[in-house]
Order: sequence, then structure tokens, then C-alpha cells
Amino acid sequence: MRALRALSAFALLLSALALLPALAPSERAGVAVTANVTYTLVGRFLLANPSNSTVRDFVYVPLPQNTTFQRSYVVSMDPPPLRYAVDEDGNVYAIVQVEAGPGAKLWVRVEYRVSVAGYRLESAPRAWPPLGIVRKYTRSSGYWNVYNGTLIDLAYRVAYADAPYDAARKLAEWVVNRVKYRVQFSRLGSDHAVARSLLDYAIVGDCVEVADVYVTMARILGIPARTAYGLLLTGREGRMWLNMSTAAEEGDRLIEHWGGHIWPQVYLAGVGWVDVDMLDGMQANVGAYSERHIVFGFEEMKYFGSALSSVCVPSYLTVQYAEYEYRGGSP
Amino acid sequence: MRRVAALALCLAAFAALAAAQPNYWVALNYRVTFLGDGSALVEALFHPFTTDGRSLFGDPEVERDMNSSVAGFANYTLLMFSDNPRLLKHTPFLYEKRLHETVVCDVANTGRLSEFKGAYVLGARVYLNTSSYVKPLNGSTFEVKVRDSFTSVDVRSWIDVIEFRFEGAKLVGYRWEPPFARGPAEVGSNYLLWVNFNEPQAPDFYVFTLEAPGFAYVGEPPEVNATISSAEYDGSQLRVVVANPGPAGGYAYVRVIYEGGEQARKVYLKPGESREVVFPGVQGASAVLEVYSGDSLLEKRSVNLAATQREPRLPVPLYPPLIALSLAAVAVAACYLLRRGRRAVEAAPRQEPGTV
Repeated sequence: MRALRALSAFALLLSALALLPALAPSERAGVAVTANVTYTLVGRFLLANPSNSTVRDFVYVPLPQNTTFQRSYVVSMDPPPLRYAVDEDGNVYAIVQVEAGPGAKLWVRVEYRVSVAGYRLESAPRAWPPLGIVRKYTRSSGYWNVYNGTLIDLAYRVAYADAPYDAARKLAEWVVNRVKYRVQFSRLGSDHAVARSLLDYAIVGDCVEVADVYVTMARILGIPARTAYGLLLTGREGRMWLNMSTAAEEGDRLIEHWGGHIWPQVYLAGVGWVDVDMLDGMQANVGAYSERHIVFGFEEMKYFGSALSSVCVPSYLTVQYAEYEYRGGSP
Repeated sequence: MRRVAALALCLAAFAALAAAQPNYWVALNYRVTFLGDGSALVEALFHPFTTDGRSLFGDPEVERDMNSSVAGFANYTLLMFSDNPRLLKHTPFLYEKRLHETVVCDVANTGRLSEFKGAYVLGARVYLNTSSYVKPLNGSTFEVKVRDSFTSVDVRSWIDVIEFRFEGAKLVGYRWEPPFARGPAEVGSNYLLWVNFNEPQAPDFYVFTLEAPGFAYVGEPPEVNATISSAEYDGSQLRVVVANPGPAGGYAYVRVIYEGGEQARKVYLKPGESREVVFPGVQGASAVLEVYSGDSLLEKRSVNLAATQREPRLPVPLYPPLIALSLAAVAVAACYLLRRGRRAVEAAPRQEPGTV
């Protein structure tokens, strides 16, 4: 009898788990969902041991997160995770333990199921958030220096507005029209990403610099802001790859086959965190979010951003190659 | 333990590890002494080594690199006590090379500690009453969090050994986060010692409840001395003008609390500058306005929304009778002009062809 009860409880649990992926990401007031896609995402990372001794290493693997517009499931991980952990910004990641002999190479393979909803803000909220949120998400940090005099002057000149949405929108328009895209192999921070030209300013760098400048200027204006990082897919199906030994010499051509991405978010009272991905179509997309994004984490409070925005982070070993294959369909 | 890459880690676009080949590792040992005045003496001991455990202490190239990283290491030390190192009060950092010190760490995650002779030592005194990681409990009792800032910055780094001493400050209680990390390896009457063999075992936060007779919480100091110049309400929006009469520029928070809600905005004010802050959707009979800078409340004022209400800035509607009267006047004028014109045509002599 007890065994039967346990079996039925297990069956019930299984059916609940089977139902879970079918649930669409929840919706928010004032926001219209424009598309729903469920992706199967398979990642493979090649690690090498460059040392002359056998190494037992911990590898930190960032995972797709659960958000209002994204539901994520780990289907499999090889080697299996030793533990799931949460960083200071609330991002869940997996810790995998591996062992590699001198000069040896090994693969870490992951498979996720991710349901993503694209959305559009239907109405512009006007109120400012409460003090606790403003204090927390407008702080200065290593990459977001809100005491930079040039950025303070620029922010108040180009985007000061009565309502947070209006300020966020003006700022996005100003930023997107000044992007001078160049793949950057070290993070400059907003202090070094804005260059003065003869008549105007330019934001030089890739998605990281664009996001850093936007977040800094939004915080200067008193708008709570942070970054989201992950992948920007080119369509419903595809493959992206990164060869670490050739990445530096590839330069800007890297984005032809790699979709790692980072973009800003602003907090609007009554709605919550709203995406501002200006590089998706080169538009001031405040609250216009495509279902081609997969969020792996957020940078909020950490002074020097997050190392988890990397594809996978071994300690002693080095990453030589990474790839993701994805296939999307209706949920 | 911290991996120092030959090139800076690139966080860009998941290409992060493209150029990250390890150059050397640094063993990290810390000594933190909590004093009776609410301050803490912090000493960080660093020892560089290769992946296979060979000491690089004294290596000229590594030493140059270590010396150029002092500001960064100082920042890591401040980040142990605050989210906002800019506002954390501390004495200047002293950096020196000490031959007699010993630094320990588990070189290759084998579960065995290796000892290294000699250390680059960085020290300062940190005043905890300005730390954003301090929570005053009552009187001279407070809770202080010490963060492993190396893990915070790079998830694979951690402090190998950290010793906490209590001299003048009394340890009331302690814990660590996350709970699955290891507790102290040694517990003495006035000290706690953590030995962390690897990152998952190392706590991300060490949390202490302390009693220090000289402790007086200050919080983050104010950046500006801002005041409210005016507050006007137009039926839905509250317009507040904040001014900075002081000689320094900085940030202030303007907060309004009203029936059913609160809103706040942070604004930058240059010396002598005023700025208007608008709060939409404010309701009720009265509201409370507050201005903060840092953790200091600079001004608090009640606003009677009914009394400060100003006519909304709408275009003035045309009074209907005025429109009717104007239309009538136009019609009369048109009739008059039409009749006059017709008479003039009738009175004029007919012009026959050829009689110009």
C-alpha cells in the first residue's frame, strides 16, 4: 500500500514535471507578449590542461535563468554538476568537477530547454520607484562610474525628463545614434568607452561598452539600471562557435558566428525590469524585446561585473573552444 | 587563491576567455583584527606561484606586476567591507615586501596545504562605522559582514586563509554564507581561523556580531547639503525644486511618501545648482518630502497637497458666449460690407466700350 502511494506520488510528480515546460512565461500588466518560443540549447566546451601535472578542477557553468519572460530547465550536464550555487546577484550556476592529466583535453556538455517570450511595453509608466530600489540600483561601481563629470553633463543635457520611461527612451536614442561598433577584448568600463570627436561623442566598443555607458548614464539620471547577459540568437535554429586561439585575430568578424551578448535593463515602477537592447536592430528598444534573447544572468551589485558572463569558467584548465546549437519551436 | 591572467579577462560577448592564459597564481592570506573603537586592521599577504607550485616571490617581472596591482588589491580589500569603497573611511594603505612571513594554500586542489616563505603585504585600518556592510543592532553592538571580494569579482577565486582577531571588540556571535561552506578550522578565545582548500568550501561572507564600546554608526557620509526650495502640486504631479547651496557637488535622493505609495529620485547637483524633480501620480491630502544624501536625512517636510495646489498648466478654454458673440460680430460686419459694396456698384457710371 505504501509502495503504491509512493508510486502514485512519483507518477504525479513526473506528470507535473512534464507539464512544466508547457507553461508559457508569465505576463505582466502593461506588457504585450509578441512571441513564444521554446528552444533546445546544447552547449559544448573544450577544456585543456596546460600544466605538467594532473589537475582536479572546478568548472563554473552559467545557466539560463528563470525570469518573467524566460523559463529554463537543465536537461542534462556531462559531467554531472557537483552543486548548483547562487551568486551575489542571484544568478544560479552549476559547479562541475573534472580531472585532467598533463596536457589532456576534455569536453563539458550541457543541454537546456528554454522557453522565451518576446514582449512590447504597451504603456509608458510614469512613476519613479521607491527609495530602496533607487539606492540599490543607482550605485557607482568599477565599470559604472556615476561620478564621471563628462557623463553627468551629457546625461542631464540629453536625457533629463520628468518621467523615468521618457528619460530611458531619450537616453537610448542618444546612445544608439553614437555607437561606433568594434569588438573589444577587454572591458573598458563607461569611463573609457565614450570618445570625444570634433562635433560630438562616440561610444566605442561592442555590446559591453554600449551597455556600460547606458547603465552608467541611466544611474546618473536616477533610473535604476543593470545589465543582462546571455545569447542573442540569429533565428529559430542555428549554431554558434568560438575558437579561443583565433578569436583575437578575427576581431569584428567574430560576431558572424558568435552571439554572446550583454544589454541594459531599467527598472520601471509598476512594470519591473525592462530590457533596452539597442543593438538588436540598432533602435532605441526600451521595452521592445525579441524572443531571440536567452538570459544567463544579471550584473547588479558586483563592483567589477560578473565573471559568469563568460561561456564557462574553469579554474586551472583553459577553455579552448565553445559552441552552442539551438533549435526553437512553439511551446 | 587568485588566477592572474596574462591578458585582462574579456567579459565581452562571451568571448571572455579568448585571451585568458594563466600567467601565475597568487596565494591569498588575510588577517583582520576588530578593535574596540569599531575599526578593523586589515593585512593582506600575497605570494605568487606557478601552476605546479613553484614560488615566484622575488621574480622581477612578477614583482613589477604585483607592484602595479597594488591599487587593485587595495580595492579588493575595501570591497570586503563595503559595496561602495569610495565612501568607506580608511587610513592610507601600506605596501611592503616581508621575507619572514609565511603564506599557505592548496596549490593544485589536492587537499594538502603548501607553505611559501615571504609575502607582499598590504595593510590599512578600516572604519567600520562607514561600511555599507555594517548593521547597527543596539548601542555598541553591530553586525558586520566581511565579503570574500575575490570570489565576488571572479567566481573561481577565493581567500585561502583568513584569520579574525578580536582585540577590544567582543565577539557575540558568528556565522558564514552560504551554509554549505566550511566553518572555521580553529576557534580560539579571541580568534577564528578559516582555512579554505578550494572555492566551493570557502564562505562568500563571514558574518560577525560584535560589541565594541567605541562604535558609533555613521553610515555613508553625505555628498551634498541639499535643501528643498519649493514644492508645488497641480492635482496629480508634485514638482519639487532641490537646491545645493554648498561648495561641493554630489548626489541627493528626493523622496515623496503619500497615501498609497512612495517615489524617489536620485539627482546630481553641482555646487549652487537647483533641479526640478517631478513625481507623477501623487495622491491624497498630504505628503511627506524627504531629502537624503548618503545615509543622512538632510530635510523632512510635510506638504499639504490641497494648499500647494496650483492650477494645472492646460490651455485656457474659450468661453462659449464669447465665441458666439465674435461669430455674430463677424456676420454683421460681413453683411454690412456686402450691402455697401452692392450700393457702390449701383452708383458707379456704366462704362461703355470705347468711352474710357
